Amino acid sequence: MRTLILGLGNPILSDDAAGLQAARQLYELIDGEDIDLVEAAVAGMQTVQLLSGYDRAVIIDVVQDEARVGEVWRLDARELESGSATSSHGIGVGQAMRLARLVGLPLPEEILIYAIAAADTSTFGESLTPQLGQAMPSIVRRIAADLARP
Amino acid sequence: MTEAKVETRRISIDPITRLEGHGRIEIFLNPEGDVENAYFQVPELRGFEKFCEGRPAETLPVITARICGVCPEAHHMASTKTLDAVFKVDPPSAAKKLRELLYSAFFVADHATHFYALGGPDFVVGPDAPAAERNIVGVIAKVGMEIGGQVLQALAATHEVVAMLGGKYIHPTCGLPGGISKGLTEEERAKVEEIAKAAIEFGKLTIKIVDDVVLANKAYVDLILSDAFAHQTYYMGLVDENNHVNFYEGQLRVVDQQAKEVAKFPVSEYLDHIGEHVEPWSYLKFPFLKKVGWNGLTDGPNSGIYRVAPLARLNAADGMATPLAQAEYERFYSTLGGKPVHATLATHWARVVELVYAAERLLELSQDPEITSTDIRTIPTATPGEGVGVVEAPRGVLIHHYWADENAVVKKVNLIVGTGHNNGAIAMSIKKAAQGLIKKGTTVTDGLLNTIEMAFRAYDPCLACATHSLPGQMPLIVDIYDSQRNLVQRLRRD
Repeated sequence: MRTLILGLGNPILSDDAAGLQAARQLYELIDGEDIDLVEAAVAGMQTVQLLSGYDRAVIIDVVQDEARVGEVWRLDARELESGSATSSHGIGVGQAMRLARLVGLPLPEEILIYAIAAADTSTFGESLTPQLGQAMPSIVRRIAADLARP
Repeated sequence: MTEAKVETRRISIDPITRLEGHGRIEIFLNPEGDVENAYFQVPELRGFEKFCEGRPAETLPVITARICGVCPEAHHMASTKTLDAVFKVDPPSAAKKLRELLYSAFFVADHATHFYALGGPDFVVGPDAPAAERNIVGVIAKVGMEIGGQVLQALAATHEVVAMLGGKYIHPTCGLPGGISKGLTEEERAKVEEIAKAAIEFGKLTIKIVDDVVLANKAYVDLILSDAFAHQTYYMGLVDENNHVNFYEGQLRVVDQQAKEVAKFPVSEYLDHIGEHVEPWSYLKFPFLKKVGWNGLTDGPNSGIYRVAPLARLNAADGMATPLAQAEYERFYSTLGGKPVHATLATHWARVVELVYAAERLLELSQDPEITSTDIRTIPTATPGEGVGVVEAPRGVLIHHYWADENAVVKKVNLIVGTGHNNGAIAMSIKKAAQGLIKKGTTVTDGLLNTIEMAFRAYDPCLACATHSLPGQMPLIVDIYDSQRNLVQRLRRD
């Protein structure tokens, strides 16, 4: 089974880099031959192009939520597909997946999306805020444990 | 929606759908229920200048491309050209052509994305259609699955060209002072040529959709040409020696409300021509023409507000440098009542004219005998210093200005981005559309708010902010406040 771990974010926008870092650490933590790591700052259709050809995709991204910094949630990709929310200059991942299915692009059987709550995603800087930085090891362990569930 | 019991209501559209980050439109009604004022607010990304200071100048093409995930290629290219100036070096002809080739491919992809995913839904699906259908899926459902497949194919192919030269998916890393890090092999050139030919066919198909879906619908043409969506402003765009639209290089040309040239200058003189006004309610500055002066958020010959981006580029030029695009350029003006066109919503069609030009230019460059040359770098030897560079980004004139010391360490940076130039015009457009559509006693519906957003969306504003956003996190929220700023009602459309 070919698995893609896809970290999304901007590496120079403080906590926005958390998805990239978590993806890298997760990749180092879990064993497996057929696992690829991609770090990218893309949205919508381009994300879907990256997913194409894998059996399973693990996407890690960040949401701004100062009250719950360090928490991580798994989102239901199917649920995203039914929403209409989109982003500028492109389309949301959910909409892109609907479109991909519509035109018959091969998408992974299983798409798991993890969202990490972050404090500051609007200040240029190469480090995470201390609170999120401290929580990172535990975030990565939690994602790994979730992935290991039968 | 219920009427607020108090004198002033605030309608806030936050965040704007199809807009990354957290843009916000706020509409203030007067006691009579008419629109008193409207504001466009953008979020602030902090500390970019400080982040750049003290770094080697040659890292800026990669850093500035990270400002946002929307048009990294545009920042990369503007930054690379600025480094040419900082290091006082002129790239070999083949390097310039390779840069322009990459850039043309990027324009095809970016303009196609906007037309089909962002602007298209308003016209193809319709401004009053349910929000759930006003998206690219709705567009494909309307125009047909086959065209949908072609859209995706065109996007993937042009991204492939960018990656072929750029060296990195989405964020290119190829720009160097004095040239480019990688050339094209004959095999790659042939591939680009094939992609360019397909892109031209895709451009023709897109013109046909404009014809069949938009121009054939009188209600849409009336909407496009309606006074609520027009401004008599100045226009600015980059032109070549024949005053044709050019995305990669040339001089900045400014025309007035009758499309008469009032200025033409190299970007190194931008500070003589462009001033920046500051308003207390917005962190984003308002550029204006210094020689005309700032006269508030108004249009006309006495207001220094000018516009950039597709409509402005067409207005500021005398034509297009390639045959199909030129034919479409002529049809654009003859259909819309002559030059210049002041109708903001015509920007969508102007974008398609440019898409065709970018595809034709891509083909020309792919067939240029010099394009596979390996002479792609001039090594800088002069002492570095200050430099200014410019390109046309899809969203308008993009100026980078760096001050470097003799060791090429960055002391200061200044950027004026497309959305910045258009800031004053965007604010005016939202207010005018809101005034035209919301009258005393008007029930503010979802479709009505969307029509107001259309005024704003035509500019394809880039808030230079989030590189990405998790879907599902950005529903449209409409907040209504009373005069004490108490939230009296919240509407939400997911």
